[in-house]
Amino acid sequence: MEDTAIIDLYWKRDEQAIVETDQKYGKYCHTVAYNVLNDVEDSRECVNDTWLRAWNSMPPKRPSVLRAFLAKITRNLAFDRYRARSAAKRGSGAMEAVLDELAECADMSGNWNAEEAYMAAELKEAINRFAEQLPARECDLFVRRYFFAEEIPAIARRYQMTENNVTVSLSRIRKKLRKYLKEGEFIE
Amino acid sequence: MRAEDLFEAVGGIDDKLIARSDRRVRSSQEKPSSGKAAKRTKKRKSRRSVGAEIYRFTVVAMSTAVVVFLFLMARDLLGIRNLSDIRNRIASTQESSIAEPMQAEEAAAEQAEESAVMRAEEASEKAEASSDQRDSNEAEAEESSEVAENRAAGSFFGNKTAVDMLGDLKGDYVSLEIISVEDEANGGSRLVPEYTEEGEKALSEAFSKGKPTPKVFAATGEATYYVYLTKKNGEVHRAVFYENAYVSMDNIPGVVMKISQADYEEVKALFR
Repeated sequence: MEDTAIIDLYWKRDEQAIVETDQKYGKYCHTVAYNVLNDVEDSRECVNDTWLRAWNSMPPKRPSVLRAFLAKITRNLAFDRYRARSAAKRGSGAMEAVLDELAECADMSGNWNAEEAYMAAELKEAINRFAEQLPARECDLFVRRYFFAEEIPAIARRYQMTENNVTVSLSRIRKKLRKYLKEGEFIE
Repeated sequence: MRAEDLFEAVGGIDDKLIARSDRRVRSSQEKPSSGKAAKRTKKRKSRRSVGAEIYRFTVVAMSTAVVVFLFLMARDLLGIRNLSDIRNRIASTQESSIAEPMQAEEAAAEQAEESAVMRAEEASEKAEASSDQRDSNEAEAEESSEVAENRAAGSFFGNKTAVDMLGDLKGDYVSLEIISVEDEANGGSRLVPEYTEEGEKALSEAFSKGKPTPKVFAATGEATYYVYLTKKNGEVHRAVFYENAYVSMDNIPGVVMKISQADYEEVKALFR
């Protein structure tokens, strides 16, 4: 079924919308969740939460790209779950490495206050602009690694690159990101 | 800011960027699920293959151009060898130019002697001619032998000329005319330089020391003189003398000859 038809079902409040979404994007969302959580059960629950969140969002929302819309919901839910879980135990998988890498661009000593919503919104906006200005291949690598939290070997396979090449490219992207965040005074 | 905050912020990336990244991944991994998608994929692939064709064509064209350029350069280098051949021939011409006048002189002298003897015999056979008449006959015979000598010498020098020294084969050209670029622009007439041994020597030395150079590397200055060389078949070749002592032949493209500035000045003096 086409995405527009699925969205129409959501808008008609037809429960078939969830069945169709699960058929078409179930595996995809599961992968997104699994990249972050590294746990099948948690990922499955996360995907179910995604369908619920989607059901509650449409209407009023009418996403232009349903796939990306669902991926975003799944990722955010998975990350919330990851944070809740990580208070008890640190998980394994790509997420730890991803956060370690991003720590290079973050600055603990800054006057950042995550509680202030406007700052979080501004940061999101800045990251979005940063990703947009990256060359296509670098943007893809950035999205695969820091949005989908994919493992480096998986990214290398996808883009037919060597793992080392991916690592080096990501390192360069992080350097650029750090510089960009410094210029935007998000970090010192 | 913590790494978690940054990760969360990355979650705010535009849907279009995510979709684009997904699309690129899918296009390389998944098979199209519907006919429409298949068509789209086919179209994209064909576009890509057209691009590849253009790229391939460009590469082939560029490499062909490089090969042709190298070939032309090689031809120029071969042209240098040819010119050195010519220089050798010039040297042999110089040698023969010493031998040939001697032969011509001998032939002319013999002819004159024969005609003088014949006339003397005729005179003695006619019986009793006056001694005055005999003297005058002898004078005539001497005179005619001188004319013959001069004619022989004149025809040799007239054909030989300094043309040979300009880098082409002896006998190929039958006349040489010189005109300055300025005069030609003003509609002046070409001059035929007189042959002199000094001139020949100067030209010979200048060109035997000259170095053929590919035209692309030669910074040719302003042209000062045109030398028109007419072949037996009426074809006219033009040699251009530049003020910075380069000489080019219109019929030998890509190659110029560099002579020394001193030699050039000496040769230039011949044109005046």
